[in-house]
Amino acid sequence: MAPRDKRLSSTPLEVLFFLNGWYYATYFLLELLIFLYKGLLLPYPTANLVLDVVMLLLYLGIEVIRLFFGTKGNLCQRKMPLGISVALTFPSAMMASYYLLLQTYVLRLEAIMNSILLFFCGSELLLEMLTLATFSSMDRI
Amino acid sequence: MAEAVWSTDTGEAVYRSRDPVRNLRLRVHLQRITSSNFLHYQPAAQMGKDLIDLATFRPPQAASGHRPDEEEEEEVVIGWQEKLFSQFEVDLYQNESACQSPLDHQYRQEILKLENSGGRKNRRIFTYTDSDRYTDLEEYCQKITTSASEVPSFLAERMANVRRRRQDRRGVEGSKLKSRIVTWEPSEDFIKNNHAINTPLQTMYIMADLGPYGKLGYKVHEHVLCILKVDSNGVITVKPDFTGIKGPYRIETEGEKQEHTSAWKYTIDNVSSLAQPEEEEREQRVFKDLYGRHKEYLSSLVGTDFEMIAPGALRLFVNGEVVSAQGYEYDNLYVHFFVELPAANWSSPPFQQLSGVTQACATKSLGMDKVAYFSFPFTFEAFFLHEDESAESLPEWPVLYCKVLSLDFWQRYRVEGYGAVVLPATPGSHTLTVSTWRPMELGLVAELRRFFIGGSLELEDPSYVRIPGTFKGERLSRFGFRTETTGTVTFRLHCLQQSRAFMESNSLQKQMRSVLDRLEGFSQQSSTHNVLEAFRRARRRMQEARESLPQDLVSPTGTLT
Repeated sequence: MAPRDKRLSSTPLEVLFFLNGWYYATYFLLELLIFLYKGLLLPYPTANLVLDVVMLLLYLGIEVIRLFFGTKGNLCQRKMPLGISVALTFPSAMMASYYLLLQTYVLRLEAIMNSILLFFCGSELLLEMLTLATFSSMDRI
Repeated sequence: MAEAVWSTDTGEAVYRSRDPVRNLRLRVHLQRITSSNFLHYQPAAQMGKDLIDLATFRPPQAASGHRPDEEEEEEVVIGWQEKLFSQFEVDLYQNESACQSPLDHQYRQEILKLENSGGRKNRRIFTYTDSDRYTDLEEYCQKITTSASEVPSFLAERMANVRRRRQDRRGVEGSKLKSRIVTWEPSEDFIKNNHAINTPLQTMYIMADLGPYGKLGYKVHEHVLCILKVDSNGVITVKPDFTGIKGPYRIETEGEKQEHTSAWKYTIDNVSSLAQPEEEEREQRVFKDLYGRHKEYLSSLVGTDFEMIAPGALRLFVNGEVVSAQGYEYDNLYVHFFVELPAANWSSPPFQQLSGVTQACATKSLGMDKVAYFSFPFTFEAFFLHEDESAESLPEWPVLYCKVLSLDFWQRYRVEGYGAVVLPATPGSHTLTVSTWRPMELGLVAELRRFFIGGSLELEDPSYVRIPGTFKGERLSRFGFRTETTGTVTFRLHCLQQSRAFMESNSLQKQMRSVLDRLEGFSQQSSTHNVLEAFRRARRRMQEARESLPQDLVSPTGTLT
């Protein structure tokens, strides 16, 4: 535990977590509507549609856990929760890449939204590494 | 003429006595009324004269063949609850099979002993004590009217169960009942046996067997002469009252033949002996010792110590309360507070702490404000020692600093405000409202940091709210320090002040004056101050008069020269 009077938390990281939370809620709702649209209008195979929706739900779980542990690690200045959040960033990036490149049908709107999600993942990964380095250096001193 | 002789008032009388009831003594005098001795009646107060008259007429009655006098006149002195057996009881308890209860067996033993020692001393007069069955039956089966066919009503039956009896007579049942406090379904017998009101009475009947000569011992000839009831408060009820100087009471009996109809008269007198002077003095001494010991016990409980403080010192005792905080931005508020004593002349006991932290309190909306109620009590004590009287400046008073913080879900705290207030100089109850502010950094980055992380500027030295402890110089500048106005904190302080200077004493004149000068707000002491000033002015005038005296002495010398 870092000294109480030293504030080692990262404000930009917390801002990104905050924005990412709201953005992912919007993304999830839009993806559900988009899947409804594609299922009704396009010749979507049923097996592929079910697979994509199930993976979307998995993506929701991963994202919620990642954001929670990221916020907890940053505000409580603890390395273990922040490490868990760093580890979960990679599955999250893989999910975003899948929806960007490997879906049966990829709309332009989906491409833009997943690009923004990948940007969030990259930025948060960088800032989490910096914050972990700060926590470690303060513990060592 | 006959009406003037008899006493027709048979009402009961109530007496109070603090003496134990076992000292009660009654003398009952019973006499048959016949034509021969009717003319020789005398009041009870002149008993000796009556005896002489009876002795004069004794031989003619004997000569005429009438009954002996022992059967027609009797006098007995009866003590409280003294058992005198009747002829009926003597005949009854001679028989072994008639004994049913332990009381019956006890009576049988006493009767056999009496028969062996020469028989009873009483003939017609006898008593029923509190333990007898007759007393219970008499109180249970009372009739309201003289009608022979009276049937008790439901109310009369219910009220008869409310007997005023002593509860200790049912000791066995009482001990059994102690294990069961509440009886949920009482039976009729249970209600009858255990229904009792708070004032237990002891009852005693003085009876007379008014049967004809040679036919004593029949129940039908029993008559009640007197009923005595005594309760635990010393109230004695006598029915009928003592005769004293009144006429005797009269009883008429009915017989199956005209010759057996007879009338009886009887008197009841109180012959209790008075207490001896030595016993009275001993009783008073016992009471005095009892009250004295009780007073000493109370004094030992209270104690005689009153805390005195050193001369020239002032003791400040504060019972305070952090009442509430209102008007802040975030939720879950708590307050750090501490009391700062000025460095000069103030001290406090080392064992007590002068700081505290309240609990975290969620706010609720009250009108336009969000209010957090703490109701957090605190108490502290401080002493002001004024050693040198040459000090010119007024003494500084202690200051109460407070710092309001908020706590969020992640245990991050934010400084909501700083405030300070000087403790009141007057004793009593005060409610103080402290306005708070918090330091602010210019720019958006600081606000973002405060919102997301919870970090914000803090004061290293809380006394910067007023005058910093490290301040040296004459002018304090806060240029460049930026603050934002926040909410308020409400304190309630109950202040006590104790000092010897408050006692009016000549020996402490100077100390009292110096201490009084520094305690502003003591308007009730201004009268004392005025008296002191008047005294000093009178003293100065006397000194001036004494200084001008030698000049007058010099002038007459010049004149003589």
